[in-house]
Amino acid sequence: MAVTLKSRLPEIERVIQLRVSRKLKEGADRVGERAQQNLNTITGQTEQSVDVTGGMGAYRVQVKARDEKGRPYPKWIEFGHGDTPPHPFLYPALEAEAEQIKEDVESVLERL
Amino acid sequence: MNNRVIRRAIYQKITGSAAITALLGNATSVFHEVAPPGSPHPYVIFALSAGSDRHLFGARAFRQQTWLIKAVARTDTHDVADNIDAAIDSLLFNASITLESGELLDVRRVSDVSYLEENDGNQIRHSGGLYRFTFN
Repeated sequence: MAVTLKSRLPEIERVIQLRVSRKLKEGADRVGERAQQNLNTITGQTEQSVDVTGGMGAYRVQVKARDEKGRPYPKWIEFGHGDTPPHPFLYPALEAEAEQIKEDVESVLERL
Repeated sequence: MNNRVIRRAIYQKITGSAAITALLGNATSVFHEVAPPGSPHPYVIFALSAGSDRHLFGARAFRQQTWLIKAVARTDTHDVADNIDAAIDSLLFNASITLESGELLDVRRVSDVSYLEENDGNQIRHSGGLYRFTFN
């Protein structure tokens, strides 16, 4: 007769990764949506270039728009340029969602 | 949220630093949001980026505002703007700043900002950071 003690750690680790990653993805999507709302440009071209990429632990919200010369210009909007003042759209979106994302991840971990 | 308290504090702190104003186009080359046309380079721009209130037990415990503070220089390299940025960073690190109302609890640099702008064949360098001010 024998008994086997088997660790559930590998399974728990996999579940943590999946659930935390899902919450991070949801948070990143919300950051992207807020950034689009904050932009609110006439053409909508910059908003359409907001993209969320990544997976399993890290997501990136990126604004990929470029001008007619191929230069990335979203930084100029966010931080200002020439005689145009800053029009922050991405960082405020992150700030607005950061606390909720943290709470969502903590909630997942507490339910394990 | 009213940004006047921190806006004034930043202006007074930077313009009160001889180490920084000595690096600028003139001693008052520190501007909120945008520089007046024709302002001599280099200069400093500061602007509110984000702000929020933090609540505890149903009351506002403190406020946080994130401000962009950057140097702008019309030069071929980032050195001039970087030097001003470094001086501002030193000035604000663990700084004691008196507010016209309330109390500053903390100021932290939370992100770097660095980019190039091309305007009529000129290269304009922007170098600075995002600073989070916590106050009540």
